[in-house]
Amino acid sequence: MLKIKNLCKKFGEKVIFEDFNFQANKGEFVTILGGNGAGKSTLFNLISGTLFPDSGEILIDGIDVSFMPEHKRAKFIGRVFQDPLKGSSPNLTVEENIALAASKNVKNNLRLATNRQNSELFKEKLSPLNLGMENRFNDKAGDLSGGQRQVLAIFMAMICQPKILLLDEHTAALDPKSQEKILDLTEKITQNTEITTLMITHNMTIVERFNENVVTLG
Amino acid sequence: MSIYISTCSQGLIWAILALGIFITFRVLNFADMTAEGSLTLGGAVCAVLISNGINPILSIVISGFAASIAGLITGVLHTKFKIQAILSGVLTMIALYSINIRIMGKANVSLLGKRTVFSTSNQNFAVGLTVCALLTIVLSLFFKTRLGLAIRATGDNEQMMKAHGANTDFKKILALMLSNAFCGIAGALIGQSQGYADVNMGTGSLVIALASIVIGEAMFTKDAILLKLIAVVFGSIAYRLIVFFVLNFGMNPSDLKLFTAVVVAAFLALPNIRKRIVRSAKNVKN
Ligand SMILES: Nc1ncnc2c1ncn2[C@@H]1O[C@H](COP(=O)(O)OP(=O)(O)OP(=O)(O)O)[C@@H](O)[C@H]1O
Ligand SMILES: [Mg+2]
Repeated sequence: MLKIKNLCKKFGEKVIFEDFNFQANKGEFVTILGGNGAGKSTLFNLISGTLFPDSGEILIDGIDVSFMPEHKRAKFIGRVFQDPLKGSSPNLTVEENIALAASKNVKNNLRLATNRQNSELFKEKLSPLNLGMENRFNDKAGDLSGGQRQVLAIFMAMICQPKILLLDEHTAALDPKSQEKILDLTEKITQNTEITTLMITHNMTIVERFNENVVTLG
Repeated sequence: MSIYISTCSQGLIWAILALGIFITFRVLNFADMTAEGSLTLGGAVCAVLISNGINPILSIVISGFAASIAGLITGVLHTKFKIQAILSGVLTMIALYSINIRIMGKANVSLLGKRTVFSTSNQNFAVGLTVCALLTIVLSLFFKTRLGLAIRATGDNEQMMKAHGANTDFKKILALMLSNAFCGIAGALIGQSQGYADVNMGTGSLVIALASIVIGEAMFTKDAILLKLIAVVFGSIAYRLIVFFVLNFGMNPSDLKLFTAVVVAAFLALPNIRKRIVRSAKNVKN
């Protein structure tokens, strides 16, 4: 569950949030709307810890994370960006990228990152999604198309079962066909889970499709 | 024949430096200027230890650790105090100049008559090959561990690593320490092979390492990390052979640094020039 209480954030003189309150329950899917510069991405930055609030509280399952460093709260949070290139490491293979994302809560760091057992496990999780990604395991992530890289990014964001999934216009950079694919995937992975999903979009057809819970900023 | 073998041995010893620079320059995307100071630091520490009767192999290991501290300092300056990458390295490098003189007590230390890893004549090639092979294998294995992969990904896409919960500052510091340890080990071996350590022995070494890397990359273009590292080693040997030939053709030794700089610039520019040519060829077609 995500709870935001009396959040304030200014950039210099510019007020982005003033006494902002928000709550999303376990398993809820919230669509976030608002014009350019309304503060949607800023909200995600505050939730994930790339920015800190001036005042107020951000609680994830009751834990106050407002000033927790980004890398510490990342275990609660999966994030997908608008730019597909931001979600994976181009010089590593698809499998290595997934393995990295999967090991984010694991300690023992001097083990080999990839092994057959994990590889099978990843493929098992991927194949019901029908994306063909399991055939590209040994290709460099940098060689994938934008749509494929976004599939990879979503899969990586989800693999550790985060409490909160943040999708920042995650289909905006894709062609209509890839968009459709990513939206299907988004639906599949967020339905019937305990994950709280926040999705930013400017696209009204997407809003209607996920027509549950809409919050408008600005 | 023996002149070729000794040239190749030089290449092998200097390849350790190139592997170190590869970690920062190619893996971490960090132009680390500390290297020249670390190389000298490794040479200085090793020479002093050997002069005091310490086992030469142990001396090399200690030199590596000493140089890794230089990397630690650069890393902390950059990540914790937000000083630019280049400047952090330059500051440490400059500081090391004084420190290296303090360690040696003077500007150079001779190893004449001391027992080094190269003592029995003509061992250079065997020693260089052994150390190089060992470090290449260890490094390539390391880059396949979770930590190693995380370091590669940090250099590749830092934002993504942060979003996935990695402490990227720590990864950078660790990579800098590892890189500088390689530079220190290289310095220790170079000092032993030439028979002295000198406060200026690191000057110009960075560009030699870069030359080895870009020449290696031009020779092999494979993605697997082990092959990339092997390419660096071969690049270093190739660089030494090229230098040997141009000097034999009568190039003035003092022009060597100019020559090396031009080689590096040319190889770095090559892919971009190629792209431009392809693009303008397309434009002509259209
Ligand atoms: N780190 C920052 N420092 C200063 N100003 C910032 C920072 N981040 C965002 N801003 C400003 O805050 C405002 C809100 O930005 P934000 O990126 O949250 O908008 P957005 O709602 O995501 O817009 P868009 O739909 O264009 O993505 C903008 O005016 C932006 O310039
Ligand atoms: Mg935005």
